[in-house]
Amino acid sequence: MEQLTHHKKSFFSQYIFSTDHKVIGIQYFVTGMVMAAVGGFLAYVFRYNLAFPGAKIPFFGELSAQQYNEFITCHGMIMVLWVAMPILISALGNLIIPLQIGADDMAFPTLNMLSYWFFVVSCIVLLASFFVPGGASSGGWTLYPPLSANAYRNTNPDFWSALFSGNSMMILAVALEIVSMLMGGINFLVTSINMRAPGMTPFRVPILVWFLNIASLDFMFSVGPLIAGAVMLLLDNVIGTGFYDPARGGDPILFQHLFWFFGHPEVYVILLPSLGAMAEIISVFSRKPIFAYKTIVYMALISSVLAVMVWAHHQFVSGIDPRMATFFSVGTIIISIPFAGIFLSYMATLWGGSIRFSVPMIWALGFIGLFLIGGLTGLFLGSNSFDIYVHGTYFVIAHFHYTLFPIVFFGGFAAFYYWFPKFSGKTLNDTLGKIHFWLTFFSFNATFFVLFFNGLAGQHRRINDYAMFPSLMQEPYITFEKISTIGTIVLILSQFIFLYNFINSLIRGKKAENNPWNAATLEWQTQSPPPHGNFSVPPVVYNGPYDYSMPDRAEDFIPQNVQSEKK
Amino acid sequence: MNQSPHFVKIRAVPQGRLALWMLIAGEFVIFGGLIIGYILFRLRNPEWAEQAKHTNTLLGALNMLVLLTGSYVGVRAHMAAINNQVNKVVMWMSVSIGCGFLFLINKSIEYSREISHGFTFTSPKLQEAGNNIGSLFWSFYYIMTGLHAAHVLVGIIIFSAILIQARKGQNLHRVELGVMYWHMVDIIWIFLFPLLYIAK
Amino acid sequence: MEDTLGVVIPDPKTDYHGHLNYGKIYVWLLILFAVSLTSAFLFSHVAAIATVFVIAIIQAGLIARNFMHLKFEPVLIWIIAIAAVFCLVMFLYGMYIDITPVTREIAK
Repeated sequence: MEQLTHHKKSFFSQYIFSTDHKVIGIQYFVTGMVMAAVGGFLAYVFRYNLAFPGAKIPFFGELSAQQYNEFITCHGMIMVLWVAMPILISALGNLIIPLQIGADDMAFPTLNMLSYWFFVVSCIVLLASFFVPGGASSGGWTLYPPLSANAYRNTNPDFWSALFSGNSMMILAVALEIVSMLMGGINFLVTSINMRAPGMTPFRVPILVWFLNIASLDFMFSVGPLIAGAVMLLLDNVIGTGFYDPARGGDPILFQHLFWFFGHPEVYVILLPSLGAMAEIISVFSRKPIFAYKTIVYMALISSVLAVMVWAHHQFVSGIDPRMATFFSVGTIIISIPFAGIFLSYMATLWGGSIRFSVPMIWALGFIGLFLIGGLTGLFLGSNSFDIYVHGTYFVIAHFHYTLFPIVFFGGFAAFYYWFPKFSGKTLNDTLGKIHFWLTFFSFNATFFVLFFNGLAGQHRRINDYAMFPSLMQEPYITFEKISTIGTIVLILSQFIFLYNFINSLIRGKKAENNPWNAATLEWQTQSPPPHGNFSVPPVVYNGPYDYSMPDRAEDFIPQNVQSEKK
Repeated sequence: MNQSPHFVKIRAVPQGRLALWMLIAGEFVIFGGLIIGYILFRLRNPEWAEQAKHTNTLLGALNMLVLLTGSYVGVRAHMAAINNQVNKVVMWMSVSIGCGFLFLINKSIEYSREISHGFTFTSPKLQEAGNNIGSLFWSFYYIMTGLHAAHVLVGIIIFSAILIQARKGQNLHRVELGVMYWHMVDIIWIFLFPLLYIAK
Repeated sequence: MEDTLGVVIPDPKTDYHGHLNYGKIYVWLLILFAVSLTSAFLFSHVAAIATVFVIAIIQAGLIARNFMHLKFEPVLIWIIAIAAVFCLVMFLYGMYIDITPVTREIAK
């Protein structure tokens, strides 16, 4: 208590420009949720337009073709870089890493704060780009030139209006976001390498911390070429160089390589933290040690090496050399082996466990079930002969959302429901959590499962108004489009249950116990919410993170910082 | 169950140095992306030899000499910092900053020479003459050397900030971090120099 | 020095073994630099370029190993350094065939 009064600070330095990792984590989470609301609204608007072309959209009005392009571009960018990254890497990493390794804060608290404010600036730059003349970036979320390089250049040749065009602002926002994530990633790595509690040996670190670190490493090594590529693209836009202009000796394929060299590892950067959170949740609620701890870690390391060898499978239809297409095809199929290993280990953990269907657990199980569909369709697409046929169709959209939506939202919500009592000190309403899960589960499947059929039947993506293409405007396409749109609306509406539950529990929720789930990892062995400095007594670690089902104890688990009596 | 010696023996790296190694690895990948892009285009466009003739090998070599010296002087400052010799730290670091400024002066002389010959970022003169391919060489030249020069500038700022504290004998361990950044800038130039000034 | 984790806490004085002859390495760097400058006049074009790049790699290695003290760093730092190089090699390998052999007429 004395310690707390010593650390008394003004509201401003305690909650706004805070250097405390917990506050920064919550800030990242809330900012990510706000951006998710923006991204979700964009999705609603263009999804509505696809099912009912030309109709007046409730809460928006009519959607022009230009706006449609802007909305899909910004929906993609926002959901990947401004929702998935801050929630799964920054928020989860900031909140969990110091607590799970028994540190009092991050290695570089000020750098941590700086990284958050860079992120806020990047959000502002991105949102501001909707309001500049010419509108936001509209060349697709991958920013491929020439669409992203000289559209504005042709109309506005002067420097400042080129700098404040949608494309340039999008590139600047991406650059700021990457800088912020790099600062965060280096911070995570240094914290987990250097600040572990006594006794926290590498193989006593929870899998989530391992995975967050592997993800940060992957991000750090793959993002460099994109930074170089973004600088070149910015110069193409602003002063008119020709790096990506074939007429000037440049090559747009160069940007595609620079982008996907980052873009593919990025999928694993997002996937790994989510999988790590699942490891914690599944082990706790099956009351079993995680199956094959070391194998899981090695599999993740292997996958992070393979991740930089498969990127060009996104470019099979962009005219890359067919000989390399075979190489990347094989690589893509090989990379499914480590992830299959991780998933089978999770299922083996469930097998024979005493499973408790609490809210975090059903989200985790939903994640595994749905991601399996995304992963398996990924194998189809990894084979270049199949990919060439479906790349331009809705099959790719459905596959992509079956991977990314479970990763970000099912994984994210599982983590949220699991760690909420720890960081707020309040308990969430279980019934509302379950209703939220089932509504989200069914509406998500309604939204995207039908798109597989549409895609295989040959319906093109990248078309804003199907009424202009009578062959695409017939049954069954149009019915499936409508089912998908209704699914989207229900999906978005069901998030209000979550919002209500979140706010209501914060205000009126029951006080949470320190360790409501009987978990063994260190973050549950301190108060809820943890005090400034995290632990009143610096912990010493004696056990592994998943020591459940211990027959010789009153409770069936041993916390990591308790020495077991039986030698 | 925890009988085995559960304390694995590892050698720790101080956290500042650890973070800096990661930053350096990250920077290498950024410059690596640029350099690889340049090499691939250079091999595709043999016509670039025509343009590469105009880069000034003498000034480039001088800059190489300046940076190598800066690196050596930096490592002396680092050793002085380890032995707590504040006066020597101040002396060697000032020389190192001087090397940085010398580099930038050389660079600006070089840039003004190129610009006066009509070779700019977009080289409108070359484009008007129909030599679009040639103008791309200069785009690569300026983006690579420009990004490197920006790193030299950042290095000078970092060194100055460290020097202000080191003069009072504070935070001497930071000298090492600044110097490591300086070596990184040097290594990048070691690769840029043959690419742009020698392999013509 | 060891703390409770069993981690050997580095002490800069013993860490670097203190006796590296930096002056010698500096002289070596200058000699290599001189060789790379003169190689253009001594060898044929291709051989000169090959020499110059081999020398660049040796110089970078000398600076990293001695001036940046990479040779005293634990295996962790080596892994970081090698991972960066590995990523770049993969990048070059994957991109080469799509850029260099493609003539500009095809690219258009």
